[in-house]
Amino acid sequence: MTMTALDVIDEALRQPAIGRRRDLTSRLSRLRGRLADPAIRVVVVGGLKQGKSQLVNALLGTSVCPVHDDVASAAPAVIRHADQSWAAVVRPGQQRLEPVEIERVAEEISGGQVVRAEVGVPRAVLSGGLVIVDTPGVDGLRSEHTSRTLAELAEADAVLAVTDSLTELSPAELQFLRFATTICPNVLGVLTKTDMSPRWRSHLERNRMLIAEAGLAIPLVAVSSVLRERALRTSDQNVNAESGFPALVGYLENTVKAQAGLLARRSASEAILAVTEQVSLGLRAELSTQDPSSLAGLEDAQRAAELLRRQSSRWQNMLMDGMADLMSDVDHDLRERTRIILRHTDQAFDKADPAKTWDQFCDWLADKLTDAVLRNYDWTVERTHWLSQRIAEQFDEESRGTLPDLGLRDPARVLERMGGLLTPDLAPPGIANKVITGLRGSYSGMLMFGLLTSLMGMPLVNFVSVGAGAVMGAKTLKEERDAQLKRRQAVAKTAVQRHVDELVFQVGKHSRDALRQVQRRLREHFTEQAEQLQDALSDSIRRARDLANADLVARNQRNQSIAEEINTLVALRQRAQALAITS
Amino acid sequence: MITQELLTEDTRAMLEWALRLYRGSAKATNFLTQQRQLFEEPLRVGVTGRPKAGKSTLLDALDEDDFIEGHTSDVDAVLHLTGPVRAEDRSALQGNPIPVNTIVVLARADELGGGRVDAMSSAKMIARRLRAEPELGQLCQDVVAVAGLLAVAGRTLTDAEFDALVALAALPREELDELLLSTDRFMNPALEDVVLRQGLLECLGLFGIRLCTTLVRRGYGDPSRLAAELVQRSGLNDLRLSIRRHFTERAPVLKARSALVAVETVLRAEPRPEARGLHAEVERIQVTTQDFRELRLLAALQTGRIELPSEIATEAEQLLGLSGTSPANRLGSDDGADLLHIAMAVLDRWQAYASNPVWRRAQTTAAKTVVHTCEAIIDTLTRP
Ligand SMILES: Nc1nc2c(ncn2[C@@H]2O[C@H](COP(=O)(O)OP(=O)(O)O)[C@@H](O)[C@H]2O)c(=O)[nH]1
Ligand SMILES: Nc1nc2c(ncn2[C@@H]2O[C@H](COP(=O)(O)OP(=O)(O)O)[C@@H](O)[C@H]2O)c(=O)[nH]1
Ligand SMILES: [Mg+2]
Ligand SMILES: [Mg+2]
Repeated sequence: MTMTALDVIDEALRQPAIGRRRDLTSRLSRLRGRLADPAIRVVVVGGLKQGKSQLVNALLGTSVCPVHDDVASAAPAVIRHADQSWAAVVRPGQQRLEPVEIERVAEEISGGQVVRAEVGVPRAVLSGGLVIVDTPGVDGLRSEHTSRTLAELAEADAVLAVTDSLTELSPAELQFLRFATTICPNVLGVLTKTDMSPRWRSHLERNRMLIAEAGLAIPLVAVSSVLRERALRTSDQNVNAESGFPALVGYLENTVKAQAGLLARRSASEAILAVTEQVSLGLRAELSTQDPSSLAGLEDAQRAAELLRRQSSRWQNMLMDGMADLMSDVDHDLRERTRIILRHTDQAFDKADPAKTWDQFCDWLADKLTDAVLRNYDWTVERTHWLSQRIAEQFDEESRGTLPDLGLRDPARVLERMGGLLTPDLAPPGIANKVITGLRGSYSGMLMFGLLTSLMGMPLVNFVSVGAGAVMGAKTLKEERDAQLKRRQAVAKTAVQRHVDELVFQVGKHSRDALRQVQRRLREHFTEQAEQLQDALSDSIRRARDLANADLVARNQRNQSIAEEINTLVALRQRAQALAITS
Repeated sequence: MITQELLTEDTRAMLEWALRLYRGSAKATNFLTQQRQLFEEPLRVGVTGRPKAGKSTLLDALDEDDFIEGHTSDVDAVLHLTGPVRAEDRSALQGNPIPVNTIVVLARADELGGGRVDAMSSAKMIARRLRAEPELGQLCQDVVAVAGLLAVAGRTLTDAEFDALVALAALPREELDELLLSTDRFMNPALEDVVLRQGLLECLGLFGIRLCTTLVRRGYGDPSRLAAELVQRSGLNDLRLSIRRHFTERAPVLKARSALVAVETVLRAEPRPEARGLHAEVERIQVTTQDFRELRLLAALQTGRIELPSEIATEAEQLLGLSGTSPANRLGSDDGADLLHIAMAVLDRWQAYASNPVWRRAQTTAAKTVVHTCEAIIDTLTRP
C-alpha cells in the first residue's frame, strides 16, 4: 500500500495530539496547500526563432503561443491545466489578470502590450500540476527578452532548452546550457525542426559530444513540431512517432513529474517528522508528570520556559544590532567601490575629450557600476546568511527550525527594480540625455550579465580591471587643450558624479529596504520558533497542573490514552519516513 | 561621382603624408605601405558571419573574385551573414567607425521561413522590416534575404537532376506530399533512387525540392527556365543589385573609407605631437566628404528611416546617385540638355525644401544634404 504525501499529512492532521496545537496544524495545512497545488514549472528557453513556441503548441495541441518566422514572443506565456479553456493577460504596470479570448492570446503576446499571459487548457500532459512556460528567449545579455526569460528560468522546476537541429550548438548556446544547469538541475535539451534538417542526426550526435565535453549531464531529444502537429491533426501514430515527441512527453511524465513527486514527498516527510517529534516530546513530558516526581517535572518545565524568555531577548538584540551593522557596512562598501570608479573617471577626463569618447565611456561606466553593485549585492547576501546562522545558533538544534528563504536571493526581482534606478535629470541637457540612454539600455542587462558570469564561475566582468582611461585612451587627443575642452571635461565629471551619487542613493535605499524585509522575515521565523517552544512548554505545564488535581482513575485513563497517542504517532512517523524513500 | 576624383586625390595625399610622418617607425611604415597598395587595388568585400552561416555557399553563388570569406581586416566592404538578427550581430556591426560599407544578408533564408513553399517571401518581408528599423539601419546600408543553396542549385542544375525533379512532380499529389513531409521520409531507404534523392536533397534542400516540384507542376518545363526562376527566387539578384548600388558604384568612396580608417588606426596606435596636422586632415576629409553623407542619406531614404513625400523622395534618390553618378544621371536628363540650367532650378527647389517650416528636422537636414549635392553638380558642370 502506498500513501501519498497528502494522505500522510491528512492523517497527521487528524491526530488529536497534533490537533491541539494550532501552530503545528497551520504549518501542516500550509504545506498541504502547497502540495495540493503542486505546480511543476517547466520553462522553455533558448535563442530566438529556435522553435520554442511551436514546440509548446505542438506538445499541447494548441495555438496559444505566437509562432512566426519573424520575432514574435515578447512576453512569457504560462500554461496550466484547466477543465475549460481560459486565457488572461497582465498589462504593463498592472498586477491584475485581464481575461482575453483564448483565440486572441497569441496575438496579445506578440503585440508587446503584455507583460505575461496565463492560459488554462484541458490537456492530460498538464495534469498533476505541470505548468509549461513559453519564454521570449535569450538574445544577448542586455535585451528585455533575455531578462524576462531569465526571470522565468529562476522559478523553473525543469527546463527545456531549445535549439534547432539545422546547425550544431554554438559556444554561446553551450555556455547558456551550463548556466541553466546552475539555476535548475533538471535540464533537457530539445533539438527542433528535424523535418527540414537533412543532417539532424549528425548534429544530434555532435551536440551530445559537445555537451559531454563540457562536463554537463544534459540528455537530448530531437523533435519536429511540424510533424507532431500533423500527427495530432490526422491522429496518425506513425507520424507522431516520427515527430520524436513521445520521448519528450515521456521525459515530462517519467522524469519531471516523478521527481516532482519525490520532492513533494520529501518535504512532507520532513515536516511530519518535525511535528510529531514536538508533540511526542510534549506527551512524554506529560507522562513523566504522572509519577510521584511529577512536581519536579512541572518545575523543569517552568524553568525551561524562563530560559526561553531570556534566550528570546538575546536573539532579538542580535538581530537588531546585526542588521544595523550590516546596513551601514553595505552602504559603506558601495560608496568605497563607486569612489574608485569616480577616481578613474576624473583621471580619464583630465585627458580625454568627453565629446569624442562619451559613448565608450558610458559603456565602461555602466559596466563598472554594474560590477560594483553586483559585488556589493553578493557580499550583502553572504553577510545576511552569516548573521542568520549566528542567530539560529542561539536556539538548540531541534528548535531552530529550517532557516526561511531570506528573499535577497531572487536576482530577477532585485535586478528588475535596479533597472528603473536611473536619475532623470543630469545637466547639461546634451550630455545628460546620452548618459541616460547609454546607461538605461544596459543596466538591467549588465546586472544579469554579471550574475550570469559569476554563476558560471567566470570572472565577473572581464573588463573590471580596465580603467576608463584605457578604454578611451585610444581616442585621447593630448594636443587639444582649449577652454572648450576644459569646460566639456568639467561638465562630464559633474554629470558622472551626480549620476553616481544618485545610483548610490537608489541602490542604498533599495538594499536598506531589502534588508529590512529580511529582518522582518528573520524575526517572524525566530518568533515562530520561539512561540512553538513556548506553546509546547505551556501545554505540558497546564496538563501537569490539571492532572495533579485530577483523581487517580482519570489519571490512569489519561495515561492510557497518552500511550495510545504516542503509539499512533510512532506509526505515523514510520509512514512519513517511508514517504521519503519510496520512488 | 563629381567629388569622387577629388576624394581619391585627397586620400592618396593623406596616405603619403602619413608615410612621411611615420618614416621612423618600421611597423607603421609597413602597414601604411600595404594600405597604399590596397588603395590602388579593386574593391575587396569580406563575407562574415558565424560558422555554418552559409558564407561559402553564398560565395559560390555570387562567384565574384574579390570577395573573401571571413576576413574583416583589409576589406573595403562587408556582407554580414546571419539568420534571425541577434544581439551578437548588432554588436559585431557596432564597431564600425564609418558605417557606410555593410550589407546584412539573411542567409539560409529558406530555413528562416520554416522550409514552407512560401518561405522566401516570408524571409523577404523580414528583411524589409529590418531594413526600416532605425537601430539596424544605422549600422548597415541594406538588409537582403538570400537562400544561397537555391541560387547555387539554380546556377548548376544538371539535366539528370532536372529529370529527377520532373519525375517527382509527376507523382500523385498525396504521395509527393507525404514524401516531402520530412527529410527522413524523402531519404526513406525502402524507396528506389535513394542515391539520386540524396543528391537532390544536398543541392536543393527540402525547401528547394518542394519549390522545384511546385514550379514544374506549374509549367516550368525546361531546365533553363527553372534554373532562372530558382536564382530569381533565391534573392541572389536582389543581393547583386544591392551590392552594385551600395558597393560597386561607390567603390572610390569605400576605398577612401578604408584608407581613412587605416590612417586613424596608426594615429591612435602611435600618437605623436607632430601628427596634429594629419589628424585634422583625416577629420576634414571625413566631415566634408559629401559622399559619406550621401551614402547615409540614401540608405535612410531607401530603408524608410527618413520619409519625404514620395515624388520628392524619388528625386532625392536620383540626385544622390541611385541610378548613376554622372551629372546627367543625377539630374535625370540626356547629356544634350542644358544641364546647368536644370541644375540651377533643382538647387532652388531644394533650398526651399531645406527651409520648409512644415518639415521635420530630419527632413530639412536631408534636404540640406541634397542642396550640397546640387552645388557639387553645378561645380562639376562649371569646371573648365
Ligand atoms: N519545419 C519546421 N519549422 C519549425 C519547427 N518549429 C518551428 N519552426 C519554424 O521556426 C520558426 C520559429 O518558430 P517559433 O516557435 O516562433 O520560434 P521561437 O522564437 O523560438 O518561439 C517559425 O518559422 C516556425 O515555423 C519545426 O519543427 N519544423
Ligand atoms: N537550406 C539551406 N542550407 C544552406 C544554405 N546555404 C548553406 N546551407 C547549408 O549550410 C551549411 C553551412 O554552409 P556553408 O556555406 O559551408 O557555411 P559557412 O560555414 O558559413 O561557410 C551547409 O550544410 C550548407 O549546405 C541555404 O541557403 N539554404
Ligand atoms: Mg516564441
Ligand atoms: Mg565556409
